[in-house]
Amino acid sequence: MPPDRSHIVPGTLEMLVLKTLSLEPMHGWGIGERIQQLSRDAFAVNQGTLYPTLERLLRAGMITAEWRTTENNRRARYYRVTRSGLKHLRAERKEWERSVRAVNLILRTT
Amino acid sequence: MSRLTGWLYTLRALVRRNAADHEMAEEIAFHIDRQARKHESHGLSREEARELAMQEFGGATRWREEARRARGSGLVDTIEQDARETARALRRDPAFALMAIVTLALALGANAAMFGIIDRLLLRGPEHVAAPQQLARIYVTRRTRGGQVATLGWQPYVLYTSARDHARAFSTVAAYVSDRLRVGSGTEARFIPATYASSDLFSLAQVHPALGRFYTAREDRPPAGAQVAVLGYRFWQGEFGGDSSIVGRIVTLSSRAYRVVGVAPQGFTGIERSPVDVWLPMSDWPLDHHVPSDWPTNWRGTQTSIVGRLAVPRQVAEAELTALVRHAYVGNDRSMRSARVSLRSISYNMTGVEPPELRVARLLAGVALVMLLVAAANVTNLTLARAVRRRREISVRVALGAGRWHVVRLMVLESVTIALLGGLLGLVLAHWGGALIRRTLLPNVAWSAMPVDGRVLLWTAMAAVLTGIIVGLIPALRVIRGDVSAALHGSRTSSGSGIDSHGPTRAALQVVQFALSLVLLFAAGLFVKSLYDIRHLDLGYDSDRVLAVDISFPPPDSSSEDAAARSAVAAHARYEDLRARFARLPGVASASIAFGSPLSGVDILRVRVPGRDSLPPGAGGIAIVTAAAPGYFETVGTRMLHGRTFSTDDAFGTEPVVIVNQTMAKALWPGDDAIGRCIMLGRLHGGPCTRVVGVAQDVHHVALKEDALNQVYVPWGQDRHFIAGSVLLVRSNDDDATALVPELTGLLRHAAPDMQSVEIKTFEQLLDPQVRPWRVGATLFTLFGAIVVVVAAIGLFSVVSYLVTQRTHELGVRIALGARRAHVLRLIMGSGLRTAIVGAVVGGAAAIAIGPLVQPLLFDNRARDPWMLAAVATGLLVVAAAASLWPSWRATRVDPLISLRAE
Repeated sequence: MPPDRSHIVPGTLEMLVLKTLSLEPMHGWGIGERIQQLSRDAFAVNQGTLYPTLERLLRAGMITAEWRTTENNRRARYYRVTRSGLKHLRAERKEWERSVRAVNLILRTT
Repeated sequence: MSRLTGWLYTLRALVRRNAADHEMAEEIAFHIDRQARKHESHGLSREEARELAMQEFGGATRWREEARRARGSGLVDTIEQDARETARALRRDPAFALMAIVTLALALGANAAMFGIIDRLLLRGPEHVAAPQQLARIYVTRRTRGGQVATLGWQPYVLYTSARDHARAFSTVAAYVSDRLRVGSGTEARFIPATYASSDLFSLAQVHPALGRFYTAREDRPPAGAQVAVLGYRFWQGEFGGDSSIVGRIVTLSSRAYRVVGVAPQGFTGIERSPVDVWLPMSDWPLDHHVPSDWPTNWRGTQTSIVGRLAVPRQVAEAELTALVRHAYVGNDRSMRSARVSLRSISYNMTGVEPPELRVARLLAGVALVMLLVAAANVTNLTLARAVRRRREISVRVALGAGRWHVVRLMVLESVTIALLGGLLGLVLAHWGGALIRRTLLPNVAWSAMPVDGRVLLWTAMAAVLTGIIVGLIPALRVIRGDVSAALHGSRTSSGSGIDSHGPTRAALQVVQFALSLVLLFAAGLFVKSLYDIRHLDLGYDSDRVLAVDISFPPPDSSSEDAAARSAVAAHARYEDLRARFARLPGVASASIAFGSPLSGVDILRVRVPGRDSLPPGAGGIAIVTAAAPGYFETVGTRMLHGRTFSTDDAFGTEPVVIVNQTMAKALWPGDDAIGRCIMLGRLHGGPCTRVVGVAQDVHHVALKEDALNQVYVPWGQDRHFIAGSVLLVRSNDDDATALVPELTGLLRHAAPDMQSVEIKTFEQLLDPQVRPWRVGATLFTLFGAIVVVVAAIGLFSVVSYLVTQRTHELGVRIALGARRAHVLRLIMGSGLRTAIVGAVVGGAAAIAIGPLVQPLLFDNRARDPWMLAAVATGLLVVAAAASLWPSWRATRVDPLISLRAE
């Protein structure tokens, strides 16, 4: 793992997963890759936390899962975001932006 | 998050847990595969790529657990995992597990057995009796002629009818008499327990027949009634093979024919707890017992037990019945005018107190609880020692993020598992032991249920779980409170604070064990001493060498006075003939005949001394009478102190003579010779002067514990009153008189083919029911005490061993610095013995404090016996010394080099 790649900010993985899935249904490995990609390699997703997060979201009904065949003809479990997932994402996002602004305000204070 | 969808998801995950796991495995495989391909595309070899992907993924197991927890099915997995971990932990330390399980099994087994007994006897009452706590027996307390106050549960039948018809005290009231009836005849005859009961006994108990019906009030109207019988279930099964066509058939009992109207349900024993094989109407009772024909209305007879279901508060009922008795009594016994009625528990005996076997059972139940405490203390100690041993493991767990609660849960789970296994093993022990205690302690109780029934099972399970929780929680909390990082960093350097912090708890538990051991051993010692005293009591006869042969012949012809006299002479000759035949048998030292011999009934005579108006108080003007044939005193082994015994010359029509016992001689003629004096004996035809020809030693006529009573012996051949009820007495040459029984029976089969029944017992067997409570007390207290001492010794041994292991380093340093082995031995032994000594002191104080509790159960010896206490304490200290000797010796063998290098 390159040293300049850091772990996801704690508590934001759910939001990032939902955002990723809102773009298109995806399997577990793909979600990790996509987050890494979208963050321009800034974030590396730890699998040890990714899959439990997926289970948690499934349990909460924010995503659903189904087995599909990949382009390479392999069976993989694809996750899709639900309506309540999208709603949750919006709420989370608002909350996140609010906190980021607040944190920035504090940090910029000279 | 919608809670419902969450639950549904969890539920689904639980139901298809395997499928979910399977899916997950596939998902992981896919993930790793993709990751590997990515690495491969960056130029790694296939194997390297795969390895790296797996590494990145981390422990698949952990991932799976995490995912499961997220799915919400974690709880089930947690339980499963906890159970697995528990099993693993116990398997890893089998010595500990075994010791703990066996210790708890002994204690829980003893408790299960005693609970089964107490439950039946005290908590639930007799079987099939509804709400037994509402029932009460009528006791009448009055002042007897001798000036003593006596309380008895035997009442005249008329008190029952009075209470039934004129009192509001009871909603239902019943009367009954326990008796036995003969089945068959001759040497094959046997006796079955029978109860004559008023018809309302069945409604009192609210019991329903297993077959047919119970008899009705119309069939039981003393003095007239129907000759009907209700069979006991056991008798019906045993004698008639459970044949349901028995109803309406005729059965012959004690030569009388009864029509069977029904069968009582299994286990029904009425108010008493001993088995009953047949139920007969009260109206039939007197026919076999030479009772005056006005028995239903007179106040003289006192044979029935009256039990009612209270309809008003106890005190109100007692007051009402007291007034009733004083008012309704007809007769000239003045004490009845001031008699008091009390209503007491149906589990009490006929003198209105709790029977000794019940008290012993109660005490033993207490002892069993004490055993459980000791066992729990011991296992707690073992667990504590083990927990300290496992501190590193536990610290690592906590450091790795296991919650403290998780650690506590695991430890408690372990101890509960141990306790449940112990309980299971204990139930097996209780099954055997309980049956044994029932046979030896309470052989007369009808036990229909198995020693281990549902209630015992439930109770044991509860006791086991509770014990397990306590045993696990104490060490767990102690360990959790300990400083985790200290334990992690260095086991030895931290041992100073870490280990010794458990010292007080452990020492306290050890002290408790020894204290309780001492109390139990002390009680055992007292009982053993009681038993010893009883065995060495001078009863006034040789109980093991003498057989009493009780024969009943068909009733004599009493149609006329002449016929009666003739049959009396014939019966007389017959007994004499049998006696002579017995005496000729090899192995028989001598044989005699007696009426009213010790342990076979009491006959009382009014005694007067010519020329004296009153006799000394206390001794009173009455004496127990025994009619003795020649050879009686040699045969039973009663010593003569003065004068002569009876001879064949003391026959019918010769000068009436009497032998008195020492107590009577002293009471009537203090400091004077009794020989040659005159006394007058109640209804016997002795005339104005029956001459005293001898003085015999006192004998225990009825009970092991009795005050010296006046006793007189008259020649058996001199009076015709003493035929029915006479017994033949046989003295054996050998210590074991029972060996003669088959020979005697064989002889009787030929010599007396017309006899109705015969019972042959040694005096010892006749005494046995009285000795039983003490024997059982001695046996069980010794057994329980021994178990507790062994448990405590094991505990001390393991704790001292453990201390030695903990202090190896310190001991090594000491030895290296020149400490002598003897000093080290003293050091370690001292720590073990100190707890034992403190325990002995505490236990001694407790023993002295609870002494009065045990006192009524002892035979003549004092409960606060200082010598016994000293002996028991010494014994216990020896055991403690022995238990700590080996580990202490091992401590002296510590090699300083090895112990230091281990650092």
